[in-house]
Amino acid sequence: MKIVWAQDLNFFRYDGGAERTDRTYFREGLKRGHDLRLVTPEMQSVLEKDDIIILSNIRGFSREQVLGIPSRAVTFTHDWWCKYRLYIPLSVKCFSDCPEYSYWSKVYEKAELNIFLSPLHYAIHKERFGEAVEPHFLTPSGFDNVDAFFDTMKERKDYCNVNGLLPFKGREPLIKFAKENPDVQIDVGGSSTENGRKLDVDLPENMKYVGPIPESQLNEFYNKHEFYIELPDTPQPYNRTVAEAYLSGCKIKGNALLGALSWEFTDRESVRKHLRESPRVFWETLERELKL
Amino acid sequence: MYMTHYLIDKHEVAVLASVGNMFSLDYVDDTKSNGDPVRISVYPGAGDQYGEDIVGYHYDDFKAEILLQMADAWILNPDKIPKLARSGKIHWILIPPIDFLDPIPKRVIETLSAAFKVVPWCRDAYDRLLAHGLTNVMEPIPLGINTGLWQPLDRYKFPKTMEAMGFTYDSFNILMVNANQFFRKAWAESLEGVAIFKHRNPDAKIRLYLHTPSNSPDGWNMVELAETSGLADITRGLDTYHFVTGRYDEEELVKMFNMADVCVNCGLEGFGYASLQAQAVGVPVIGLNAGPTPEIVKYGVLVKPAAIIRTPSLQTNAFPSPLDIADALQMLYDNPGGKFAKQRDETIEWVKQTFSWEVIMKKWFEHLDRIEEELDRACVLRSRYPPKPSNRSLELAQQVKVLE
Repeated sequence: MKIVWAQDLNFFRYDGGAERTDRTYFREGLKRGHDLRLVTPEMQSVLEKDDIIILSNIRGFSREQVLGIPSRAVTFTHDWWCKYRLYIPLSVKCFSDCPEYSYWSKVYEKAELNIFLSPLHYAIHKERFGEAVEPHFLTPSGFDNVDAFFDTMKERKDYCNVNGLLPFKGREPLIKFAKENPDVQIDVGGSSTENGRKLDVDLPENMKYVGPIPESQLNEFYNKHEFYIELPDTPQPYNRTVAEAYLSGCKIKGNALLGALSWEFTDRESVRKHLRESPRVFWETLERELKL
Repeated sequence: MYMTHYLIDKHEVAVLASVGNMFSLDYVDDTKSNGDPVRISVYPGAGDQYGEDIVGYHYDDFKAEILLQMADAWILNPDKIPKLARSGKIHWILIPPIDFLDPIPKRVIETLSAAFKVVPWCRDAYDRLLAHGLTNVMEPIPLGINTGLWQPLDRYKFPKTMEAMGFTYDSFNILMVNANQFFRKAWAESLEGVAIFKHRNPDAKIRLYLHTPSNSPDGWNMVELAETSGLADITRGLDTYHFVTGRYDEEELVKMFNMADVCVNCGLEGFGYASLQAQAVGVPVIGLNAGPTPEIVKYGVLVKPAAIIRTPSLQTNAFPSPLDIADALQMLYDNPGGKFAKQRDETIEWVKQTFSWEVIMKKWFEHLDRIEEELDRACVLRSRYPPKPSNRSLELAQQVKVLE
């Protein structure tokens, strides 16, 4: 029996947050000796009835392909979901007559196990799709560098954010916050483009865009700031930057739409332990539930 | 032009003017109803007459969310706009005339099926498109007319116009305003009808004015056609140079229509705009009792189709009998201001109530609201990224969490 991991992007070549999650969990599966293979929309994979397919982010796969899968299936959808980046199921139309609804109902229904990144991620699916998302299992974003984030005990000030220009990560609420709090300085890092398009935004004077931050400098960036702030207005399945900043010693100013904060963030070491152990727990759960 | 003027009140609008505007982006200034100035981009054509080769680029450049196109479906290249529409790259709202009888050619139906929405010009076309199985057809919206401009005038105030058309104040003035097309506009039948009418009324002072280019690649040599019909001595045509340089402006046309006693418009029309113009100024129309004309012509006489002809492109056309046109002319000639007079005033009012731009644009705004709603539901409006969060999402966003 083989296990096929279906993903829109080859997560050994792409390094977005969603791909890093999949890569972390995939590697753990290999370590545990599973016959694990990655399939992207461009690749062919022959599945047999007893095989397992993990349907991660599969917007690039045709619906016929997905619904016609002959094997057992698990869903692990946490990035591109419908037309929109990440996850907009709390948009008004998502609860009226979303054309994606019927398809995803069938996908979740078909799966033997549906995996979500946070209690919030699950709760929204449950509300929208009901029993189709059962049985389910929760696991956080995958971190293969959890120890790279720690408190350097240096002096901190101001606020920071590393997703600040991305519209779906709460750009407008962040700008609103900055305008309402002119005494607060917010340093914003991260990409200035999305889908190849430059994100031109007029930022208030107390918001400074500092450009992309290499991963090797992220901990240092977080450590300069007292607060990490992220205020999305649509639900985020997890939002790894919140956990990174928290582990780096930042205080977090977020809201109830951050999946990460729907987990119990009681203290930094318990969060670190949770993230470190998650890949193991992920596979133990799959092995137990699917009798691998 | 009129639609654009009204649309800018509620939407961002750019225009693709592919004919006569090549290789340069132009602008026109307009004003919203609230007085705000608006600069409208006018995109050029490139190689293709209808801009089919470049419209997709313009669409992206303007970040358009819909393409409104008024065009004959049968002229469109299926590999251009329809293909873009099928791939979802553009949302194409086609406003086509259906100026042929059933069956509508299969390739026309295929082209129309690629559109996100089809908005026909009349009920006749709407019913027939539905009957041909299309599911993307919206309620018809007719063409509009500026009823503030198109009104009856005192013709005695415009002797130069009367003279320029070859008309006189004591003649029976027949007006024909149509494209010079061989197949669709029933020119030969209409002129033959006038000739029969003239023959029957040898003492009548009859004048004919043809507002159409005297020559066209797919049309008639109008001078020779008038001669052949025995009408050369009573016929005058437009000044071609005046015409091609756009000098017959709308004000001039209003005056010209007002000089006529009857407008003959007997081809199988997609709409028959000249019929609307004539009625707006109180001039009766002789039209063909087929297609949209029965919906458009309330003041005048409808003549029955006498011949049905199918072309190699499988379009089916209808033509009137010259005898019927002659009879209709006789009826109107014999009853000047008589039994048609009451109809005249009612029709002028009906045109105002039914076809004024205010009425037409109200319908368009309702359609566009529905289209916008549908596109929004399908998450394809560029301006809506990311989509508007629900109230519940916004409530959750207000639940601030702070971790020490």
